[in-house]
Amino acid sequence: MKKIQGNDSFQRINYLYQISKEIADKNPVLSAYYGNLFINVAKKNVAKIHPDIKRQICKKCRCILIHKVTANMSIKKKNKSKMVEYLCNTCGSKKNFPAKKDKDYRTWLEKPESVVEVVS
Amino acid sequence: MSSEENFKKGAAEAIVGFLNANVAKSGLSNIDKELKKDFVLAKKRSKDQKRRASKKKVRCLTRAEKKELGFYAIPRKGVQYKEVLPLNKIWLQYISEVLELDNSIPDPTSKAWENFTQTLYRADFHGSFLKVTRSKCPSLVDKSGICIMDTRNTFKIVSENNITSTIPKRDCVFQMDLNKCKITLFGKLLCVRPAERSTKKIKGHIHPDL
Ligand SMILES: [Zn+2]
Repeated sequence: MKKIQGNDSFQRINYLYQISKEIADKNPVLSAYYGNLFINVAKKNVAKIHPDIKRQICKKCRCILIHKVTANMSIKKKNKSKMVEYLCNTCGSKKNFPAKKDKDYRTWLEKPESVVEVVS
Repeated sequence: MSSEENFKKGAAEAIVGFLNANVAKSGLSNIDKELKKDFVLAKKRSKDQKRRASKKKVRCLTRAEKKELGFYAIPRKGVQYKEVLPLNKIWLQYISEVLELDNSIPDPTSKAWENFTQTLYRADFHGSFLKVTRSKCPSLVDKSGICIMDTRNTFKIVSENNITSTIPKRDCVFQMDLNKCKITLFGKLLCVRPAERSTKKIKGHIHPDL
């Protein structure tokens, strides 16, 4: 296996994300604590968090958002365009995602041409 | 309040009287105009400042709000041992992947040992099964449980009888239970914030003194 710089911090972020999701239904406070921690670890290491993970945490209290467990998802219309709205049950803040039919909302990281090399 | 207003009015009248008495005759008609001048920019600036402050508020929770939601106080019997058992399972997977436990553990005298301790130091301890083996405080000895919180100076552990307790790191020696082996940790060397620990380096060998 090739050594990658900052690999241990990525593993740590991954692990913290997993346990944050695991404990979200039982104890949202601890989930928010782990969420806060992995963001801080990423900040300290100047690493980027994958957008897939980033979309799942509340931007205010950093708790994991799961439909009907820690958050409520609903679809809303705003200026003729539809929005997916997450309402956090812990702190009550909203997170909006635009959802138009004929648009591609993937970021560069999620497109297949962004992958240069797969190291296992 | 009323006395203050009266005082202000009196002061204003006094100023007008003073100006009437002392300004040159050519400027007398301008006194009223000059006094009623309002500063357009001054008002605008104050409005702007308010808007800026309100924008900043949305960003993240303040400390007081966090306290109200109960982010800092985890009740003594609030966390069940059963709830945190899955954490321990995931943690065992994670730690064996990070430390590469499938290979043999390096010899303490070899060069790989330094690497091994470095990665252990940078790893995460949430979800690990900790046991206090030695401590300056005799009542803490032999306490064991799954670590759920790791702060700069303490570990919070949930023991098997569902009680959450806080253990200071500095004066304790912990034993970590992996499937294959046991690791002894000196709490004195772990007194760093968990987020900062991942970037820091430790010296190769430090003599324990307890
Ligand atoms: Zn929230």
